[in-house]
Amino acid sequence: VRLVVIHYPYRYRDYAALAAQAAEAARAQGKFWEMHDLMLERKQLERDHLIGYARELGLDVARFTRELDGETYLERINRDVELAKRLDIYQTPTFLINGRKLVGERPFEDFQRLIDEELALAGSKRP
Amino acid sequence: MRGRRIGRSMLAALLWGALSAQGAELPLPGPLPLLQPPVAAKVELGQMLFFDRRLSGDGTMSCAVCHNPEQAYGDGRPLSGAYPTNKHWRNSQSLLNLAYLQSFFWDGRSDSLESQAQEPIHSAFEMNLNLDYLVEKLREIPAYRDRFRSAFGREVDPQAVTAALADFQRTLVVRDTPFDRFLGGDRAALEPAARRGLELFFGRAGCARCHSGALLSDQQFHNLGVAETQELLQDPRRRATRHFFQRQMGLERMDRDPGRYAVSRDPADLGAFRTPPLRQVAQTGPYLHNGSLATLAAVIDFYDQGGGPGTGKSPLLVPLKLTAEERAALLAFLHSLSGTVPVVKPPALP
Repeated sequence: VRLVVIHYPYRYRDYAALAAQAAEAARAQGKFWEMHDLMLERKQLERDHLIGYARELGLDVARFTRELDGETYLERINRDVELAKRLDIYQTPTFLINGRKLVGERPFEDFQRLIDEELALAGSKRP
Repeated sequence: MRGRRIGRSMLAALLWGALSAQGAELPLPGPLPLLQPPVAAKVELGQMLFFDRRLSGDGTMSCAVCHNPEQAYGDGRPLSGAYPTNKHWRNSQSLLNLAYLQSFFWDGRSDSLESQAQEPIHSAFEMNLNLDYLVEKLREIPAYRDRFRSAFGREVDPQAVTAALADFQRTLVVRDTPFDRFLGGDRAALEPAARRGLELFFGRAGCARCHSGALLSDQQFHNLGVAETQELLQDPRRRATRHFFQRQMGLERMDRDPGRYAVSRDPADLGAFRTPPLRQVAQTGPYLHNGSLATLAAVIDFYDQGGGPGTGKSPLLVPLKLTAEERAALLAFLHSLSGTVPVVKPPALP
């Protein structure tokens, strides 16, 4: 199973786009998920909080801050937003599992069922 | 073709003969009546509005987000989706067969589909838009203006918006299930397990004391003793939407679902909810007003145990001591309530 994360920062929260860029800046240093989890756990997403998380995760804080302030990853985020719009996706989180759409936070079992169905389907197609 | 058809109807006659003695005492309802279809132009307009994200304050939510045609017009989540950054506190109900209902929402606080339609648009944690403001926005969109003129013979106004949404929803009817065919006289429509389940449902298990009539709902309000979930008790955003609703209804804040009490102010109605109709129920989980039962098997176990642990529970609920076979039969019957869900694709929007 391959997971692809597409950013869709909520347009009426200015910290949302900043947090998405922070996740990308952490990814550049190999710590995307660590940053992701920390942001969801602490729920504070202003610039100084994000830099604090980078420090906590042992990232190169100077580089992280430079990239965050320089909007290094903003273009990537905007590309993702455009893609989401083309796919008619406006809710976060939205999951596309081999094209089957699940909207919103859901119980683990919902994903398990869909993924197992798709894995079985893929398995049956194998020669 | 002809020979096969005759063969099937003969088989049906034989089965009916074998089962009628057993079924004679079952107080079965008549079939679900065919309703007068609403005016097509209003339905088409309602369908456009149903899928239009302009009905929400931030342009992200349409009705179809939480009443998804691909999920039997519910959203398949324990608790409904909500306006971005908010969390809802009740389960999103299927819209199927609303045309037959007399009250709407879990607590029946609305007495028409037209008045119901206003509320999610206005709700701060659902679509978060002012209906009068929506009207002005729609008046600036030529294609909508024309459609309202031809469907209603007048300019866009709040009543026309909600009437169009209501008429669209009235077309979302399922009445071709095996159970419907059975009620219509095709005694072979139910497979043996579902047939045993039907006998339990209308007989010993007592389901039909509330899930009665052709709709399988008495449209009354009952307290099942459903336990509060930790998520509703603890999540600050869910607590906030629930308390906000209570304050809007003029109630004191309480860490439980007031249910019908919010409308009637009768303490006996605390935690009572309208019996939902059951067509397509296999597709409308999670179940109950707070989505706390994930599967139909869990629902059957819940009733088998005589409902939940909450206070004020209906005396109609008693432990049933069902056997495994009886539970399986009830499940088969509930699956026989699935038919053809109207397929509605998102229309092109102006």
